[in-house]
Amino acid sequence: MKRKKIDDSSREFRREVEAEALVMSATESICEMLEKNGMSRADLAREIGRTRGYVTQLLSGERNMTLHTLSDLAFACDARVTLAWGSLSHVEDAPEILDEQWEASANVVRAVGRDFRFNEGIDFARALPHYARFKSAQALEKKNIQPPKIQEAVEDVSFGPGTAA
Amino acid sequence: MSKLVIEVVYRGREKRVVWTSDDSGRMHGKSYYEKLDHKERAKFRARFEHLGNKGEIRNEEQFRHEVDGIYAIKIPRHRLLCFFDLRDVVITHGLKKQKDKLHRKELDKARRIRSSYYGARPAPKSEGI
Repeated sequence: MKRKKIDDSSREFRREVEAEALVMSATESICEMLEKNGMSRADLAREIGRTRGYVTQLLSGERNMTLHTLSDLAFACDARVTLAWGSLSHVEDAPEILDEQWEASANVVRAVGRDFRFNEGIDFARALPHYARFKSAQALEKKNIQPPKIQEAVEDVSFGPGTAA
Repeated sequence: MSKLVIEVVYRGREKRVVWTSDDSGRMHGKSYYEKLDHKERAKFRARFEHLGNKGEIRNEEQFRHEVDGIYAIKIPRHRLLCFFDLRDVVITHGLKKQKDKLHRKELDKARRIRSSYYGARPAPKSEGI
């Protein structure tokens, strides 16, 4: 039977990309923690009682990782995993934009710092209102008023310091 | 005269990911990518977006410097070779994963496409952002 072709602009494709992005986020965090702790992959494998090949498969995305395994990896690095939910900032109808606009909007987003993440193209016209909403939310927060919902950062998985003594 | 074709795959905060062509105008990377199934394409897409937004991938199982400024974007069984040009990550072509090191002919192909690219692209207005 011929399989249905799934287009890159479809929601089904986006769902796959989001899953892969989460795996990437986790594996990048693991690599970062290893570097920080001066640990090799062989050290990590020893710590969790597995082979180096197993760790390689996890990091390449070839082998699916359970939350339990992820926690074990973090524990081996003396850290704990924290999860954060973010809204999908992907915009399926993002228009093609000129390079000058790309540069300008990249500067706007950079001025905001890490508070916004655009998963699909950056649009100057779209970036400015987000920035304005972010600034007004910041101002309200200072006055201890509940800010309106703003575009959230999508730090899917990150390792924080463990609390174990 | 060589004909350079560039197509943007993804624009991120730090980098743009683009397909480039050889002298004949054929985009080998794009053709290779389009032949993959959607799960494989999604894996590549996630790497493009990470590269675009962070400017790097630390994990050598997913992104690796091969030789002479040629990098491999890696997913299980497939590779896309690329190089950096200012704020662009330029993809030259794709290939099936080989047993050990990359074959010399694949690296030569990437180098050849990179030479055509630099030979044909206009000089940048500034040194990027």
